[in-house]
Amino acid sequence: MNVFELKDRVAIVTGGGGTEHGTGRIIAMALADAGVSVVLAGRLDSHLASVAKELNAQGAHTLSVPCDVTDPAQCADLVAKTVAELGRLDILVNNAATALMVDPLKLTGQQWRDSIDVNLNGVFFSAQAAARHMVEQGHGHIVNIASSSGIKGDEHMAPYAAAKAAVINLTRTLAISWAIHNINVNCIAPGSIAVPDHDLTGIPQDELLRQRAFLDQNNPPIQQPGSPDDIADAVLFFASDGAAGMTGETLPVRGAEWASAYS
Amino acid sequence: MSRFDLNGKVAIVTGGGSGIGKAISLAYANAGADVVVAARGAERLEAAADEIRGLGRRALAVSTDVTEPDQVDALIERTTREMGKVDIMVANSGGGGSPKLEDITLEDWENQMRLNLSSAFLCDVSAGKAMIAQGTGGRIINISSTAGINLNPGLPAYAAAKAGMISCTKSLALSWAGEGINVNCVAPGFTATEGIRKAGYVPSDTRKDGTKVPPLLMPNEPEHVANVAVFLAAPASSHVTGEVMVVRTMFHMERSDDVLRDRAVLTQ
Repeated sequence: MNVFELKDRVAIVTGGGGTEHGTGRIIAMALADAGVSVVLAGRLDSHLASVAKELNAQGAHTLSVPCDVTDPAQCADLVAKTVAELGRLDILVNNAATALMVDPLKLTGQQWRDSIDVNLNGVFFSAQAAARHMVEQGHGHIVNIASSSGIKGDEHMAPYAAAKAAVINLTRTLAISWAIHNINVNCIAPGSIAVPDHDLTGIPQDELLRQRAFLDQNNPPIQQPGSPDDIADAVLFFASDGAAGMTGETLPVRGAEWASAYS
Repeated sequence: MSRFDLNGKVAIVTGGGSGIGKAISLAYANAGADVVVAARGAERLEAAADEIRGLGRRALAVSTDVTEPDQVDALIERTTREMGKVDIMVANSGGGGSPKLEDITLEDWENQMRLNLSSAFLCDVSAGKAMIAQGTGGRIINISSTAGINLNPGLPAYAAAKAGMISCTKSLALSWAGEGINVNCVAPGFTATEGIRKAGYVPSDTRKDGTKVPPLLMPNEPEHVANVAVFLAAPASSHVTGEVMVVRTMFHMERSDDVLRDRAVLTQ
């Protein structure tokens, strides 16, 4: 018996209908590869449909549910549909997020609130909806995707970094609260992730690719930015019985990037 | 291939004959690695090596005092000679023990540092040198303790040594990032090892009223820690270095059965 085996489990991935290189899509694919039935949740039906099509083509059992995680009622509906269709919910991956780079001096109240709404409130509403079912079921694994920004702060990322720090803290509180219900709640804090369409910074695509090539040439892999696959690997770990002895913890996945932040 | 596979890897586990070290050795063997177990007591080591062979892997028991540099170098040398290489080093040897705070001598303090911190440093550096010579990269996993993050009442030297191990992990991780060597730390909380169990510290998993204590309110088993050590040795953690993985349950929440039951009713 392999403790990392996930075959026949059921997982929800929020933000599962992201872009081609998006972490949500890669996490969903990794879970599907491991034999998990994956429910893709996200705001954009067309994006969900394209990821679902891709996963189904690989023989995975996939469901896509349009869901705005900032609305508790939609989160409840997401869990209800999952359980109705697939009979259970073993794993919730709280991946939905939105990044925004704005000088804090120029940030509007609306921008602040919108960012906190998706990056923090959405994590809580999804976790609450999932846990209500997991309590009845008697087990569950919740994996929150935070960010190293939530540990070290980040230039011009005020609401994002603050919300991610809050997610790290929320992970601990939910783990304490739900240990009695046998629900493991853990968190992954990715460092920078380099993908061709990860256009958070507003840097033009060709410039981003040039930067990536420079890093690839001049740094060993561990000092380079990570890839969505690195995050998916950590999700597979925390979703599995291999992580049964851990709860309330945050694992940064950031290569040796931490060194520059702390030196 | 699974991202949690250790097929074809050679691992050294110090303190591999008992407790968490033995659980790690067996978990590595189950994941496909050949395992060298090293510790002072030869008898338990041989038994552990036999169990590893029983899982179909190669095993070597090397009687070693990991506080002695020559013996640590000899351990690495013998591993390289007989197993062909070293891919994974788990510095797990150690243990807490010290007189009352007011009675601690410098010798007591230094003995704890030697046993818990210097030993890991010697193993890490000796294994790291072999990995660099091989040019293959590798994984180094130091077994620290939650005592090194928070404290351990009555064991200040042990706690300080375990905190030192966390710091050492970060330094080595950065030094060898360019060599493809990932250096990480596991910090177990209270774990129901055989020794702890025999000492009577592990409570029953059944409450007075006959209900079962949920697993996350029981201490971890050594296997829980071992599974995290597998992750840190496996391809799945290739972008993780210099980090500490705390492995503990919410055991402290089960301090009083009655309080806990009341709390459960309140939160329903």
